[in-house]
Amino acid sequence: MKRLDADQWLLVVAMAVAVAAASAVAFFSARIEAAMAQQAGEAIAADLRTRDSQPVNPAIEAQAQALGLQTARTVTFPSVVIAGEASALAGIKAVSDAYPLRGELRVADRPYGEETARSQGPARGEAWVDPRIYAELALTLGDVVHVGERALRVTQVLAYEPDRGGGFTTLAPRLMLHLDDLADSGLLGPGSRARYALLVAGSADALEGLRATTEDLLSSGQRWTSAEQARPELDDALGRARRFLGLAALSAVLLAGVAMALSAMQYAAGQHDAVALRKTLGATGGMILRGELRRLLRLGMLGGLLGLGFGYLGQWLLVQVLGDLVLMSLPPPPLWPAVPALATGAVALLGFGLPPLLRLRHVPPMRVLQQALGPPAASVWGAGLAAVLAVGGLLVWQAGELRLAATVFLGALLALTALALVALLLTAGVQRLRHRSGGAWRYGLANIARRRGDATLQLVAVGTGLTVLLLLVVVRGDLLAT
Amino acid sequence: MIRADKVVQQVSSGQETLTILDQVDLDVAAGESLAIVGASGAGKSTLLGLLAGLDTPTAGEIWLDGQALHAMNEDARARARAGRIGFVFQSFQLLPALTALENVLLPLELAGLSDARARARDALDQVGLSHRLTHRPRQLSGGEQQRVALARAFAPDPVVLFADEPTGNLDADNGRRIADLLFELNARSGTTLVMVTHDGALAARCQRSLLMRDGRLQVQAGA
Repeated sequence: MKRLDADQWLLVVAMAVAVAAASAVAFFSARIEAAMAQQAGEAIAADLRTRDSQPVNPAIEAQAQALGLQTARTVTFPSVVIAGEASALAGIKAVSDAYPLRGELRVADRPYGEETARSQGPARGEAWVDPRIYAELALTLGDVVHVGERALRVTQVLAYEPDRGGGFTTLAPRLMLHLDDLADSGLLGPGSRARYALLVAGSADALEGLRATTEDLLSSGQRWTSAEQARPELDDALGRARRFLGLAALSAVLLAGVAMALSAMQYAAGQHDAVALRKTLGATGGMILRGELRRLLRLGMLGGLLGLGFGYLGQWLLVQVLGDLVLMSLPPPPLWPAVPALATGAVALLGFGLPPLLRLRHVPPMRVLQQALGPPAASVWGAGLAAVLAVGGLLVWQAGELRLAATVFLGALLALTALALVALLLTAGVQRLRHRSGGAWRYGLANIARRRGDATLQLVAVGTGLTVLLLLVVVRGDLLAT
Repeated sequence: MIRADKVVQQVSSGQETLTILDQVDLDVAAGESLAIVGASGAGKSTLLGLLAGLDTPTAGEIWLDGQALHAMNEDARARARAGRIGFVFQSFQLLPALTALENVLLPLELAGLSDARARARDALDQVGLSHRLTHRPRQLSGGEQQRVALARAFAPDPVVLFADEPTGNLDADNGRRIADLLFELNARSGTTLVMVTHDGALAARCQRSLLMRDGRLQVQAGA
């Protein structure tokens, strides 16, 4: 690559800023989302669950295992637990060896004692009981309780189970036993009010594959429930985080787009002489255009790669700065956000940076003899349309839903229109003011007045940047708190 | 080689129309050297630009090496210039980001010549700058920059060379040396030369001299 001049470096830096901002937020969001998804998974102790009053078709579990997914089964039902002469109503939960697939169980050796994490439920012949049963039946560890016809030894006090949701059996205090002991209890007859669940965990692709291939195997009342659907409040939190981080990412891209537009305008202005000379020596408008596109591509790639490097560092800084707010340990960032971040930078580069370069093909060759000649004045509408298309496309992509994107888009359009009107009024004012001022002021104001289109565009660009920053500050609290 | 028929060039400034060239007729034979002299603002550079196809006239016809420039669009005129027309400017017009060699290569590559690099080296050798190939314009003196520009102009072996005040930005000594080099290269290549200048001594070295006054060409007194 030929040596870059200052204006080309500006464009590279602007692209680097866009990609760094987009990738930093994308890397950070990906880490947060992965961590939140992991936490959300605890809501059902799995990634997917299907639950019904009938035992789940064994073919479904076989299919899940064939797809490389982990599986576990649980059966819950209300029943009476007997210890000697005493009895208590309990929410019985029988679990297979692999339970829980997400999250962990916590047990103690006495009610409300120090908790220990366990990745598996009770072994055969054991029962883990809720502190309420423990107290109601006046149990001590090692006592025997009866569930139906099965005698079980109480070995732990159950302090926490990840998928304890609403419903009758969760109101009743829990007694947890191994699934294999359930058959011996003789409790699972007709009308037992048991709820049979199949839990599944694994890669997103395999889970999607399972959903797609098991629709016919599920009975009419059965459906797959994901972790997010199971716990609405976590779903909300995830949604809010996504909205805020998405807005933050878009704001960063908009800011960088503004920087790109400004640096591309500056760069293009510095190229008028060179383009006029090339045309004089035989270059056609098409050659100029192709040359500028190749140059933009090279600069964009250089800026993009630099941006990814800074973005990777940036997400690490974000974690350090926001560490106190993020109350969970984050997995390392995946590499995939580099792709959308680069694509975002490319769209911004085309939308904001390309229009000034496109005008270069209109530089008249006669400029080599008459320096005052330049390309036709910037079309505010043309440049604006390209920027609007870029922003619109990015909005739809980031928001993921048309309605939200349209709302933000319309709001942004209104803000842009207001900014453009103010900018036009200001540049008109400058035209009048320059006749009344003297010295350097007169010269400076005359410069602005001469290139009113460029000046208006620059004012709108800077105004947009400031508005975006302010918007982010204003809505940050509301978005996270609502 | 060059013919201008009743060429008119007007520019609009608000509601006012300014006539820069008024019914200009001109014939330049192949291999001839012609100087166009006149005061600043007389329209010399405008005429040079029109003759070279950098712009089209408001009215009239311009023919260059058998091609009707007045009837061609900008891209067609650019293609017509590529490799066949050379230029030397008052302000050198070298691209600052390119080395001397790359600047000379520019018209050769635009003309699609296969031996571009060898030609560019040879052209720089002819102007005595074979030791400055990798220098950028800002590392060269004004005289050296204009020599690079001369190398760039002559490297493609053009049929016509247009020169706009070629010594205008140089001191007397350098100006004389550049003029010597220009005429020497021109004589060697037999290129048609059209030069705009207000330097009488320089104009006198051309075979013919015309005066531009009030947008019209006149035979210069004493020429």
